[in-house]
Amino acid sequence: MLKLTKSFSEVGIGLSHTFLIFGVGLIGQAIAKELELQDDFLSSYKGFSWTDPLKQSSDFNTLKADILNTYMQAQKNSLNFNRARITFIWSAGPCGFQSKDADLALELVNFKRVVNFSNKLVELLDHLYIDFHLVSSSGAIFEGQRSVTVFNEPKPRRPYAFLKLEQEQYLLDANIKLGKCIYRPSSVYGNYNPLNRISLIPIMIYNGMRNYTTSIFGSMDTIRDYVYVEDVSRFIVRESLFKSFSNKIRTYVLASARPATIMNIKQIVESTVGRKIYLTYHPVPSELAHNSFMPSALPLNFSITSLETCIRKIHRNL
Amino acid sequence: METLNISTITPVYAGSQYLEELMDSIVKQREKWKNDAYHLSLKEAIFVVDDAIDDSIIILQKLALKYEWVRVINLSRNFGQHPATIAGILYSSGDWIVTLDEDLQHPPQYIDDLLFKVAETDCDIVYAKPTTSVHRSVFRNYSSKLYKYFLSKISGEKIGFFNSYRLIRGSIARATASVCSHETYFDVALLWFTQRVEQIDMPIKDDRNINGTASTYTFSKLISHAGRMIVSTRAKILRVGMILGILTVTFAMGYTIFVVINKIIAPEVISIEGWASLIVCVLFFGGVITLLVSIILEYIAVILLHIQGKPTFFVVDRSNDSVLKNIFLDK
Repeated sequence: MLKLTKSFSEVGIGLSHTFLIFGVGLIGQAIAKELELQDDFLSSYKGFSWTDPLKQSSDFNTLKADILNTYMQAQKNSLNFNRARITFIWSAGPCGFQSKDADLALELVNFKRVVNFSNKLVELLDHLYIDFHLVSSSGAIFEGQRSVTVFNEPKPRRPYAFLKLEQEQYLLDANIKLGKCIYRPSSVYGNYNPLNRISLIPIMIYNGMRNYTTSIFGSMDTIRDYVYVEDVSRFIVRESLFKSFSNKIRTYVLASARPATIMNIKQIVESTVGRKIYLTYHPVPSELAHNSFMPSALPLNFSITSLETCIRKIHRNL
Repeated sequence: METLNISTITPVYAGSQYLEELMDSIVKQREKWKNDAYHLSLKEAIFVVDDAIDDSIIILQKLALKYEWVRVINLSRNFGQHPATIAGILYSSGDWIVTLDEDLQHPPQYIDDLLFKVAETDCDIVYAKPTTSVHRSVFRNYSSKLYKYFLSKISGEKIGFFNSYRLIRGSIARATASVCSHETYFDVALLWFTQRVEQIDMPIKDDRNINGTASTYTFSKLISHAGRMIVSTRAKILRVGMILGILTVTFAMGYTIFVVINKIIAPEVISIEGWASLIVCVLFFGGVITLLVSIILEYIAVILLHIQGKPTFFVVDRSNDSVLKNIFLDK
């Protein structure tokens, strides 16, 4: 778990904003980086056990004490502290499309505990703005649907999608005073990092540069929507920094609205890397479903970097 | 029964006066498929604005606000109709893709006929075949036909079928669009992926041209269009060069033997001293050079096809075609 804090004053008013990012994977790291870059937030890793309930309970207590201490200290220095904010971000847990029921159940339990913790803080510090931002997955909940618009209803196909919908619902049912925002990104990709779950595009570039073969669980013409992690993190940070969600609920689909086939990606990667890309196809029926989005499904201020540019960026960073 | 998704793609350059009417026709077709309980759905209408010279973009933006299934792609400069079509295809996700002109030259109500042809013949591409002269200019009509006929003959492909009103299997269209470079002729590249190409008679014509409005295709654009077609079929043309080279060498060798034998058996026939050795040298080296050039041309042909992205293979799934058969043949 990552805590990012920034305290500052503006016309004599003490202001403070704390981000608590649960799940520091591809998206979580990008959000933290964006906060550090954009607004001078200071980050510190905090212990948070995902598997041991007792340790987790103690971690929550430590975190609560830490937050209370921050605000007590800050309140001493300022008369008006009403504009202090805490933003929870659940930027996806350890589970993915292929996760088994036991892992999914564990993630759901952890998620519920974090939401409950945020509820408690809302009760305890009711003069603060507390928001909860959940990174869900439109790739999962709209799987198999093409040209998705705002009118499409989620049709979950696999347990992971049901988990995401259950998380969304749990958050929506949480304390009314808690600001709620749900992001539904499509297939998110970013730089190659072996410590994170690696998506198709970076692995294709990495393997391509080394003449390794990449296994594709799909077919040459499987359509997916790939969205660059920095586009997603920039949007989330902008929303969480500059908008107040107090008593509000917002849901956003974050996709590129540029459907791409595996063959299309391969072609772009080949021209970027300057080598032949070797692929083996495993047309698993569950992975053949197409997925694409219409621009009308996206928020107006969501800017998208082109697939070609992002592939060049990832290649350059490798 | 599964529902097939259809995408339409319309490159836009100077079509502001036609776009609303075109959109009305697309909407009617979409509603027809909904009402008649067809298992067809017009999921997206993609308009690719190719740096339009009129206010098409404003009209399209309004249409995109009105219909959430309309997608407007704005190209950064004028790239031409084929690159615009390719861009549109790369943004599509339909099972079948229909390409339409902006000026109502290709009425959307005929899409059913194109789909019917697929149901009937199991093909991957259906081109509209105008039953009347498409353009006002007789010269343009016939020169276009003649040019396509010539290229069909030397390339061995169905180039004569080409028309911008076409129905293409989505997976093949996207794969083709992925491999196209800026000098690739899209329809020629389609033939790298499939040979199942059909044509259907249709009463379509270029009203804009016939009514006297200037065509957006200038003479220089047409020449560049024709040039691209040659470049894309160049591989076959280069092979013709190689055959010519081999023929030249064979002729040179034969004629050399003839001259040498003549010189030995009947030296009086060649009255000029040195002519025989000169002609033997010219023929021999000319033949060798032609042969070497033709081998280089063959290498270039291979490199060209590689650069243009001609695939080694492509896998296609035609299992959904049964839906079209159920709709159009079982009725």
